[in-house]
Amino acid sequence: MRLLRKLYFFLRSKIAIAWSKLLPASYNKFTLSNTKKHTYTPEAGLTKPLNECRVALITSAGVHLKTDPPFHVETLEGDPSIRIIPADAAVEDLSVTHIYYDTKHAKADISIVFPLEQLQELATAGTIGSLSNLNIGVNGGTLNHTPHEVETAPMVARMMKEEGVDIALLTPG
Amino acid sequence: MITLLPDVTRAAKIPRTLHVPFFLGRPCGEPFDFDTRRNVVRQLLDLAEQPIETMLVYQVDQTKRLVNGGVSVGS
Repeated sequence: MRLLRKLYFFLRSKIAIAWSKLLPASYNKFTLSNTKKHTYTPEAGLTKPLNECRVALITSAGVHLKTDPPFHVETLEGDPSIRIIPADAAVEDLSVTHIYYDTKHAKADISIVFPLEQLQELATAGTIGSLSNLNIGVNGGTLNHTPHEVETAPMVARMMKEEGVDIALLTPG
Repeated sequence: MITLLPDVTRAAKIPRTLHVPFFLGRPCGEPFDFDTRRNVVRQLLDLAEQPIETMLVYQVDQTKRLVNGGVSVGS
């Protein structure tokens, strides 16, 4: 049974990746049809210059510390948990768990989905005020977006507010 | 937010988006292309200073801004 489950998600992963590459318009249409449409844009603006801002990085690409448990990807329900990545994390400390995009490129160079190193450079140079210790990895590979919307996103927003984050940069997988 | 699917981020009413021409799984450019990486991050930070509903289109040398369907060339 376990083997069948692994085979099912292996095939599902391959099909999804091939679909996104070979039939991008269809893939886009499918993704749009599974997107919750909102009616208003949240108001949020900067109140200080960039070189005084605390910046955090959030990704749905499934990035996490190697010492953290990987995301649970063999599920149709999705995994709404988060992984916290500190500001001083080195590239070699990071890994990625996702099955709905080809992760071989991210495993070679994690900055293509999680440019933490580039933000570290900008913090050192004083271009940004500071890099937050609350950088977040989630796994967005699910059609069941309700737990992410109802639980994960509000929790992350609260955490970032408490941490004094001024700017959150978001990257997909 | 970086977007590979601008129709999706528009429907979700993401406040500010940077539309990039890269592939799924490589939203900030190709592996080891660190010049592009820095460009992407800089343009994301520029985006943070723009009004809500701004979509920037990533370009190597300059940024074009789409604001409410209109087009203007940013500096």
